[in-house]
Amino acid sequence: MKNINFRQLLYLFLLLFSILILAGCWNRREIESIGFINSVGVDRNINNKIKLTVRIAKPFTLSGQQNTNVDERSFWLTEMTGDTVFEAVRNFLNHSPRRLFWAHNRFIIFGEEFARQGLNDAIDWFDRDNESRRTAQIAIVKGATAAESLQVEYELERDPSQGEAGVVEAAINGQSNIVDVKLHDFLLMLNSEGIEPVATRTDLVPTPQGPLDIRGNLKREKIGLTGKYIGAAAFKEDKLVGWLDGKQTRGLNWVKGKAKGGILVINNPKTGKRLVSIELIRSQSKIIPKVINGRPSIEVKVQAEGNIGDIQGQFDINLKTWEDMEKMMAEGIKDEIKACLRVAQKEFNSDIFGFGAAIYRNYPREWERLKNNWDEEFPNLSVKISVEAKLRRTGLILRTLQE
Amino acid sequence: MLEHGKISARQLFFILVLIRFVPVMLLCTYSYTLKTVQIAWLNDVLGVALSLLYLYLFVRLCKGFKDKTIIEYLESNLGPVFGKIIGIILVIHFFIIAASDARDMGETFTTTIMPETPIIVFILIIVFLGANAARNGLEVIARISEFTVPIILLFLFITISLNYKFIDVKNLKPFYFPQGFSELVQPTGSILSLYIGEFIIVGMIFPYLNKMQKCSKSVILATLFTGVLFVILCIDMIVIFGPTFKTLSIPILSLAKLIFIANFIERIEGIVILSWVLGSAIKIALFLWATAVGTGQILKLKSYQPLIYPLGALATVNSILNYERAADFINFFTGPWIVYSSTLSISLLIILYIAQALDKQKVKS
Repeated sequence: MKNINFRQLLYLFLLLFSILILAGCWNRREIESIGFINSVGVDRNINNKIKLTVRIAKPFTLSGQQNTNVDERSFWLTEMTGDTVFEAVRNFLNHSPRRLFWAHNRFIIFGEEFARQGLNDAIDWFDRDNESRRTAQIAIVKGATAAESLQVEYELERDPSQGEAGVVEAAINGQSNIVDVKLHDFLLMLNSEGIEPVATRTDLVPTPQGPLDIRGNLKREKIGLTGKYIGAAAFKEDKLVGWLDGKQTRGLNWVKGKAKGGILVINNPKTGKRLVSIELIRSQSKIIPKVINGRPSIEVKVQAEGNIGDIQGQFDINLKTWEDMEKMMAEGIKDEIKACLRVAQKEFNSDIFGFGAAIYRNYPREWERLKNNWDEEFPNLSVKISVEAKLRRTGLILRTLQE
Repeated sequence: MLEHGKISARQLFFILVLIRFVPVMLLCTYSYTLKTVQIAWLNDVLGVALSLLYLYLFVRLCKGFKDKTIIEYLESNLGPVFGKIIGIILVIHFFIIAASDARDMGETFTTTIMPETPIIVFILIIVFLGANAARNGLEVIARISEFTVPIILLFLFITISLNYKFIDVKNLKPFYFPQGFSELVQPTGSILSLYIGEFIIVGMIFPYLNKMQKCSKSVILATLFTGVLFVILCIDMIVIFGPTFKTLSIPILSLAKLIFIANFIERIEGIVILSWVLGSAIKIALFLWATAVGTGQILKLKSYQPLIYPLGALATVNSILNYERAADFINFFTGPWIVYSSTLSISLLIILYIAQALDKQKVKS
């Protein structure tokens, strides 16, 4: 006992004290006690309160063990109201056995009505909260509430959020007729000068319940409601003003330089009736603003590349038909851009392309003057579109077999 | 001499890089001072250029210290009363930095990962950790920072480089000042005041360098190195966050939270949190050490070690009492601190010139 001096005793106490610290902290959260949110829908109920609908993953249905019940839904859909988003989030705790965890949220879905009144009431919390991330997709449901859209299911995925994410990713890369807008992108568009936001648009597709289902397995019933992602939702500031269809959305993507892929159908250069489909590969764009005597004008230059994917009534490809097809491809792209430009200028009066931003970046002093009456200026803005289209390859067939 | 350790010029470089990086990684008061985001990088360039000028002059004066710290030097040349007063001001300055750094770290932890934990828990742990390192002397602090800085830089590199998907270079335009050049003053002041206010610590470390003639080289290199990194970091923030950069309280964490590659590399902000702990503990250790050594030299004590724990306790109390809310902390560092720190550093430079002149006279006579 004599050998134990004060110093050793102190160390012993320190070691014992560290047990208190190392064991955990106030904010410890065990994985069994948290509910992972996959998607959240934001609406207003009839009392004008904010209604949140969340889809919480049921982890035990997703484990890979053999004896799991495959018929059980992989998620729990529940809703709560509150005066603010955060109040609604906390109100879940009154009936959810697990604390909600937001870091894995992939979709923030807004109902059409809510979006028309403006997203500003709801969007702040998703950026301010320490769990929530800016990588969640912002989607607006056309003609329905977000609560309804959270009831969709996808035939190929057990988890609907996985299905939604799959559709969005596939459509962005393969079709370019939807916009890829994450919370981060939305906030940037909302806060930047001279550009109005767009958001991903989703439609609900009820699938009729036929008498006979020959596809699914024996026990499972057919999915009643599924979702479709095409087009975009156009905003003016934080308020929804209208919808773009697939063609117009790709027009928007051409201007923004975000078109990555898709099919463009043009006339067959030999016989006008039959068609050729061109697979788009990549594109680049440039918005060149000009302000002459205080009058703004915009020139949009688009460069697109494509491959020949499919020819109805095969024909011999020579230099002339090749150039004809490139010209028609450029016309087709121009068409899509014009379709989008028309609705943006005449119907929505919303600068979703960011032409104002282009002026701001190149003529900041002129923009100080222009931005106050940009609403009157934008619908009559002259936009010159020039498209340079290149056809690169022809697939495995080089020339015709018949004709 | 109170401190017996010797450190190399390279270790000084790492120490300086580390103490300058901590306020950038934690709750970033710099972004609160910004008015126009796309020209924010210009503030970094200006701030670093002005700091270089100051530090060049300061380190040249340091060479006159020989084997004395700044506090001993002032006392021996300006007389016991006046020298001691300035010494006490300097010691309080180091103490404030240690305390506010502890607060910064606690504030960051409570706003981000553990909102329900009382802030004192983080401050106690980090100050205790720092105090233990400080008790072991300058050599230990230098060695830890020597291997910590590369780790922090690696984490920073990962955070910056994995966000390439969100980069939009157009956010850097237009280059113009909507409210005139006056909007540069506050952000540039914020950067300048942190550089010169904290790098005064070189005056405390100087006599413990094994090759004193290399001191100015490592100070200038550290300033340039951090300056270039800050400009890169700032440009990265602008091109990724655009106008929302100035709304972020902890930009580095927001940057790390954005990382999302191929559904695989994501949610790696843990590395940022790790660098907070590493960085702020060492910075607190260094400034506690400087406070203790300075106090010991003013009071002519035989060793400074017994002062460390009481000073640590005082720093903890100070960090709790000085700022009641996060807004107080931000207000202090976006306004009063800039004025206070720059005034202190610049008057110190003038006082050092006077001290040097008196010193030369003494040698002549």
